[in-house]
Amino acid sequence: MRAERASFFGVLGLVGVLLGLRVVLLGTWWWPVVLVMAVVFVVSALVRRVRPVVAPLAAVAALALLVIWIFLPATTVVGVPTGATWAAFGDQLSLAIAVVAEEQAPLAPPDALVMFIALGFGLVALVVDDLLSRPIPGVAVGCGILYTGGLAAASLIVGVTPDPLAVAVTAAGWLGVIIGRGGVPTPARAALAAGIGAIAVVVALLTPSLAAPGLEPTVTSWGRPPAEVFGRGINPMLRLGENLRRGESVEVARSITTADDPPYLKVATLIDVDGETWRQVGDGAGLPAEEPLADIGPDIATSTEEIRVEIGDLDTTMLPVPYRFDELRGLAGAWARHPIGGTVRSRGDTTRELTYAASYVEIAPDAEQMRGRSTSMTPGVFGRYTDLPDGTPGEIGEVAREQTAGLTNSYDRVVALQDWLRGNFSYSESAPVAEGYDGNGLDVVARFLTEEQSGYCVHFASGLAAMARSLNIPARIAVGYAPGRPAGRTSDGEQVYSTRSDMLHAWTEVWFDGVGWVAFDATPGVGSPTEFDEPRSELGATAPDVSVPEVPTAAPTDGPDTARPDPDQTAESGTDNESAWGIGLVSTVFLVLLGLAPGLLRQVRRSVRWRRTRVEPWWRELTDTATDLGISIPPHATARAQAEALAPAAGPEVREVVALVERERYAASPPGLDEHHRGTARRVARRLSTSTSWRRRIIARVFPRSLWS
Amino acid sequence: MDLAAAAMSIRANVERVIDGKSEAIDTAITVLLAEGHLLIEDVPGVGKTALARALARSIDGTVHRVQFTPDLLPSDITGVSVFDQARAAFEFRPGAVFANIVIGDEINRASPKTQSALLEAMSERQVSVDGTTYPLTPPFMVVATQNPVEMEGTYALPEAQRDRFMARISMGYPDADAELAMIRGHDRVEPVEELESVVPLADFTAMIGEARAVHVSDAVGRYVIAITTATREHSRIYLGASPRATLQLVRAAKARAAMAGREFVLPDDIDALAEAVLAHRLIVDRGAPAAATLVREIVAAVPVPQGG
Repeated sequence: MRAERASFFGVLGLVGVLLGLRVVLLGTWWWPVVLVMAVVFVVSALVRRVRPVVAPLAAVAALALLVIWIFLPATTVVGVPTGATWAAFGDQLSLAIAVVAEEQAPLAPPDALVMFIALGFGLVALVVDDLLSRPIPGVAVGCGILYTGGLAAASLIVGVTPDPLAVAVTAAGWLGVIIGRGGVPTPARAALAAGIGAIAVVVALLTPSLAAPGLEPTVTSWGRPPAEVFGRGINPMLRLGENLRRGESVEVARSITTADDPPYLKVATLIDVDGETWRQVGDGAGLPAEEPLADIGPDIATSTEEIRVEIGDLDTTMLPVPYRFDELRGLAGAWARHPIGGTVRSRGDTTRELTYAASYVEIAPDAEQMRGRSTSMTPGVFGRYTDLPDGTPGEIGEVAREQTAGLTNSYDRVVALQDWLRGNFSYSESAPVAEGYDGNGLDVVARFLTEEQSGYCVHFASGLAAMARSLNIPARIAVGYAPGRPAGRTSDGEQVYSTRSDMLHAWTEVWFDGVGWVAFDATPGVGSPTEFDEPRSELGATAPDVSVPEVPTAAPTDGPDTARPDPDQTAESGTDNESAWGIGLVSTVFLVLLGLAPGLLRQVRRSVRWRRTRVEPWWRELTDTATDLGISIPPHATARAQAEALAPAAGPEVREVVALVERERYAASPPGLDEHHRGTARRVARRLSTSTSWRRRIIARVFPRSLWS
Repeated sequence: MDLAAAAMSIRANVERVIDGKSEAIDTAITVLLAEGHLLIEDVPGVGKTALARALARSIDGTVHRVQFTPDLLPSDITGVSVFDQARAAFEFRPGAVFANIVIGDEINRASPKTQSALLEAMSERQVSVDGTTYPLTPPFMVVATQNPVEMEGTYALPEAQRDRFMARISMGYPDADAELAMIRGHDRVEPVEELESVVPLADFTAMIGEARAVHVSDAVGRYVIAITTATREHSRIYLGASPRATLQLVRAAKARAAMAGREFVLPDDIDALAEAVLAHRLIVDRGAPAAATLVREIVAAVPVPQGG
């Protein structure tokens, strides 16, 4: 009972740590995790009463099944996991990794991330529960370190003081663990503990200011995160509003371009939308790699422009670049083009003080050409660009249809929606901050479109994208900087444009077959609306037929184009498969390693012990070997009694070994050991092994019980 | 002859007259070797006296037997000074306690005053009569037998006095085979009278010194303390083991180790002796299991010291 109580409090402490994560992860994601931990604890406790040895196994099985039932129910057949479960697991893993790698805390975690949090906390709960059910000294202290570390990590990520409720629950759990393990503190120890606690509180309070040195918090209290423009990783949407409202503005880039107007500089692309926010895709899993230049059909007029960009006061791993650049020149560091969205990012290098030159392509189709372009791409490939989650407010679609009534093609519809937003809505950075309006969730978008009619770029970009999607037009959100403004000086006779931090912006990109992604900026007063020129002649002759498919490869004029395999079919599905294979392979290797880890750990321990020149480690090895093999030995008995329990399997030589053990443990002088003694001990170990069936021997090697008993 | 072999031969010798009680015999030899005193608590007629006599004969020691009765006087135990008219001086006539092994039969039938005279001699290993001190020659062991206290006309030994006995054993009835062997043996002659000494008294005295020199590691010492402490802290034990009990358990364990030919004490020695050495000293709560049972539980629960 005492052990169970300690385990309960151990898991309660973990619940506290979990609640501490609420400063990093927003929303009500945590309750399924609590449920998972509770089930792990209950299953483990119940099974332990009947068969203590299998309790951890049962808990692992319960954990795995519960996580699958909660998070991947569609992949099971009557609750039984299938191959599809495994595949879905890989997909979720890559999504979760992408979210962790790319988004800036605090963020609204997607189900995939919650699933892995549940798995992780479930596993930790299992280990804590198991350790606390055994009389291993120091476990309570270990729990304390775990709890403190967990709470501190959550606070460190976002730089705020820990949530008082989380601290209270964790402290209650830890106290319960200590008392539950019979360690009621003496007054002196209690005083020491209080002292350590006080130091911990002071450290926790100082942590936020230490966590991000050099970053000026915009709000002086510790309650708000420091609002750097881009940190390492970014959740652009959540941060945009905050950054736009920043008091000061710094110059993030200077540029010189051959174009008449400087381009939008893009840093990120947001594709997937759930109820809470839009997010980036990780490595583009599930989407074809994009080729901004090759997407342009041969009949579309283009112009190639040059730009030279000097990054100023901006520190991020996402480089502001024009969309459809050809190549980047003069860039220091390891930068790579993201397969989706045409953006550029690095794993470690940041943009600070970088300079690059690029040539980029501007498209100049006429309006009639655009009207003739289909946007109904191959289903499945671009499905994600038209997805709206279940529960999307109906008003979005209604408003979109209302505003596009009578229009027959996608281009006109998008232009109409863009113009409607630009013409009838007002720009405001401050008005809608309260009550979650700062976000870009679809509820907020619906409210923006129907009630407020006022907001800033986030609302306009997501409003246009959501309305386009509701009309089945592929759309996504681009995040970056609005076109630079003249800096009032020249360099080598060229106008220098300045991009400042308050020009951080979001706009919408819409797909047109044979044109690629076309930017539409619905935010009033920023940049310029997209509206291509009407053709000057042959208006009637080229009456558009929306259903005519675009056949760019038919034009023989463009050599590289014809040589290129159809991007939508072979190439992309190939990379798609490859990445799925890669994930599958990596996770298989990982799981195999994970599965082999106990055996390897045991092997290391075994060889270390046999090398020792004391008999005690040899004896431990012998008893552990017996435990691995499932030979029961009385755990608290004397060495002699244990030897007697082993003698039937290990032979009479075990008595010689135990005599040495006794001499080493209890005699005035230790026994003189030599190779003969070691040989005897190893012989006993071998005889123990060979006394059991080969099945048991294999289980003992792969799954050595002595590691956790 | 080394100690282990000597102990073995004493044991074999005693077993010739007492069949099927090797455990009780072992404990008795252990206590003799550890300079303790033995309390045998049992119903009459199971061989308590025979055990003591056989032990004494085996080591060529003297043996006195005192039947404790309510009218037994302290001087019957210690001895008395008598005025010798011829020499016009007091002459000391030693009492029953002057022997290597003293059998105190049914000690709980005597008055407390007489009991305490014996118990003083036991702890001091000397007798003072009329201001003169007379030492007792080693080895000196009192084997007191006590009938279960519920029997008529008995005074229970006070706990302070029970504490002076190193160990308590109980013979129990012999099994059928052993009892049949007894019938055969007693046919001819009283078997104890036939026994011969197997270890000279001087050798046995030397063996006592050897047993004292057995090494007790700190780990084992702590183990003993953990056990005795556990008896003091046990919720159902009203009076736990005294520090004297700790010492005596260690002494007995040393003797047991020496008898096994070891020069160091094992936790196994402690485990084997804990019940005999500790149980009779404890007072358990009303309704609690017997003290022996509780001691067994405690020994099973206290972790055995491991090596580093």
